[in-house]
Amino acid sequence: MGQSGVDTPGLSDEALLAGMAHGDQGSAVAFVRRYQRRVFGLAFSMVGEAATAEDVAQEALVRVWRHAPVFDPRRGSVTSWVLTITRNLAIDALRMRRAVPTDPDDFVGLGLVSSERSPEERAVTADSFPGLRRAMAAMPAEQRRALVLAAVYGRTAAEIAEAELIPLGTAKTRIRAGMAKLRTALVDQESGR
Amino acid sequence: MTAQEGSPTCEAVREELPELALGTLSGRERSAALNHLASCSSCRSELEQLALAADAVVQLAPQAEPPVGFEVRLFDRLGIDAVAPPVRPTGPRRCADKVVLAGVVAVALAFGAGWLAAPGAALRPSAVNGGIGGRLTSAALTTDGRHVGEVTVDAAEPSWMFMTMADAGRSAEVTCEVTTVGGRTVSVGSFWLSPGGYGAWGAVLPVLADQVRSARVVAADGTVVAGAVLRT
Repeated sequence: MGQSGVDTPGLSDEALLAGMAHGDQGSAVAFVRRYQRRVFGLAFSMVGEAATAEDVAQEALVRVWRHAPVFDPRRGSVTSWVLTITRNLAIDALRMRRAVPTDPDDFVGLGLVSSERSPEERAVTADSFPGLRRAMAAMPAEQRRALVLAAVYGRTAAEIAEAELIPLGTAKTRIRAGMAKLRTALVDQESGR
Repeated sequence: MTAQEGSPTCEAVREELPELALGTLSGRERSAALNHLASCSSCRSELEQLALAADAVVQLAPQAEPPVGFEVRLFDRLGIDAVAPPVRPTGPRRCADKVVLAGVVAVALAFGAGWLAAPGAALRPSAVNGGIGGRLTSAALTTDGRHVGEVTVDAAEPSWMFMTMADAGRSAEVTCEVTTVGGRTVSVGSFWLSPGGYGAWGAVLPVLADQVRSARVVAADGTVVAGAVLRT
């Protein structure tokens, strides 16, 4: 897709992963070209530095290639699996560098503003969670920050409380309220409301 | 719901479910919540919904163009030459047919559930050809016009196929047959459809994938359970 020179009409992510598991290099090329902007984008938005983001993105896609045979779709979508691998590697990179995460507001702000994307990419990602984006945008900033710190950066409520200089109970309340809104947004989206 | 005696109530556990879904709950709170979830389907259902929401947040990240040379460096690490003539996998991925078959079957099983998670994908015959390796072709398995699964063949050496089915209307051992462009029908193998008509299966093809025009799944009594046209 996008800048891809590989024709992948109609082939699902799962089909490409199956081809990769079989050692099919054409499937791997197609898969990488389908996902590299999303993987690098997530890594960059988390670590905020291109060289580290490339290291993270490369390692994530290498792991996808290596672990394609053991992917278990019953536990989630391919997209969720790939981005979770990326997220975890980015968290490790931040810990190793003892780096401060990118400002959560930046992560959300960038994510909420549709950057230039090809029609294929928009079809795959931008409209996947319109309700979720609206719900995030409508949240109080402090609630959104707590949610992003937990959901993206894996920060515990105690860590968020310390970073935000707020009581633990307040951090938990923000997380809880934010998640409740997201859950409602997803349910509404699924039911077409 | 049959929460165990002594375990926290649903109300108390639901306070903790958002953090459990985010993977940030630990210690005694996590233990107590998991203990309750083991016997409370209502809270488990709530947790699943919250986990979907948690996963979705990461998917809101913006896309970004990787640095120049990203692909070249990545494919070099993967041992892939994206501009070379067709090559077969080397190193640990080059393995005996039996191992390949086992892998295909394992992937087919995984793929099956994956398709179930996203029904409707690849309804028409479609193919990918990266100019290297094999060439995948997928098509929908249908019965009376109803989409009940998907079949994919790979024109690699050896050629192979895998298929997934869901809600096929029966639970039984079924046989997969393919018909070549020359009109020859060949049995590829058998697999079981579980209750609800779910199944996933893969095998090395006894004919070249490029020669497969259609595939069908047949029950023991000869009834055609589903069919797919891979090449018109």
